[in-house]
Amino acid sequence: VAERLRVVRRALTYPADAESLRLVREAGGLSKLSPEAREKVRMKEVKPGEWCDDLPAESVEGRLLRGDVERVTVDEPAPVDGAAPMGGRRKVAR
Amino acid sequence: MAQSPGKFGSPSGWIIADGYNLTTVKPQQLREKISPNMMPSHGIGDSWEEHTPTGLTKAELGVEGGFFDTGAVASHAALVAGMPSSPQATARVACWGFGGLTIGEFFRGCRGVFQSTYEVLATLGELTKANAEYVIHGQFDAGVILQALTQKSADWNTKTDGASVDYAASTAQVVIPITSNSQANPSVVTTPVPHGLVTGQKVLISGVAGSSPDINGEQAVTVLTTTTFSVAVDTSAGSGGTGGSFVKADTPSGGVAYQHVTEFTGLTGFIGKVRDSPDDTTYADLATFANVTAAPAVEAVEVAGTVDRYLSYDGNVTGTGTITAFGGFARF
Repeated sequence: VAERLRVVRRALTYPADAESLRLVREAGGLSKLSPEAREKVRMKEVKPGEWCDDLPAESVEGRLLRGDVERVTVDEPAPVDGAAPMGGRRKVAR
Repeated sequence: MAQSPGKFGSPSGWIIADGYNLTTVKPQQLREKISPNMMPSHGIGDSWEEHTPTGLTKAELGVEGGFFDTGAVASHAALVAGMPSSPQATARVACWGFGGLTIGEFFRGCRGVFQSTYEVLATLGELTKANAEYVIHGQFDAGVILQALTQKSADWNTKTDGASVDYAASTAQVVIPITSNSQANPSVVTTPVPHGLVTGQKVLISGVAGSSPDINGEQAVTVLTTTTFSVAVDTSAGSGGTGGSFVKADTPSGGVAYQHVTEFTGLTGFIGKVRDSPDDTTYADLATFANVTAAPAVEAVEVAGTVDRYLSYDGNVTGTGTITAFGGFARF
């Protein structure tokens, strides 16, 4: 049994990998990236219904509160990247 | 001390109506006028005239002296097509500004514009000009430009272009001073004037001195009274602070997104989006415009709920070609 994050109502875009996230954090946000760093940052888009287990940690609480994502308990362990949903039991708390 | 001159001049003015960039026809005057409806309220016994506002506000918009041009997507096509002919006539969508057509500058938008006159003036010794008057049906929206009218040929987004717009840095914001914050859990912030916040709203606090722990930075508030709110900081074992100020870091009441497409060549589709973010790291779709397949095109999309601090514009093209689009968002 594993707990996973799933996008609920609005498509999300965020840094696609650890290196991109590191660069964004180092700059203090996407809008503050230097032109050189901007070239290196890769973004991903996750649509409603898709997993977003790799959502940046600093964004998780706010997105849960807003109802943009939900925690879902599933029987399968979370894969490394955000793959398509495989079903699961929806937890009451978001 | 010498007075500084005005900050903006005629090169900074612009107007786009229904996807037509009317600035290209070089209008000689762009006029916006907002006035309250007043009625005389004096009577017998009064020795001076009196006027009282009725509660209604009137808005007018005029574009005067644009050069008459019958070319494609030019002044004649833009202005003659907008004349309403029935009670069910479709209102137009117009956006304009006086501070330059650049990302982060302010614009005015209106979703209910009826063009009431179209006047062509051929004057001896002058180039032929055209005037248009607009009657505003409803309110103006005051917003910020997210995408300037720039030609693009591939997908883009302003957030990774380094051009997202930070609401906390907006010069349109009212900076609310802080009197003090208490030594308590949670710490209670007192303001000398009504703060105008709602519970759950985020503020960006700065300049508070002496608070331990520090309350400066972004905080979500719980409203207690019109001049007090608490923030989730435990100062009971430390100390309260004084001074400082805050600006709002998000808005709770939705808004309206505007998009004009003035040029569309070769592509088979285009979808524009406005996205928002509380942290400038993860962005969420806020408003998605319908697929555009030809220009001129215009759309205004109203959204409800919280609008986060950072706003960006995403353009997604299908096919090969070019597109020139404007995007903006007005918070309610």
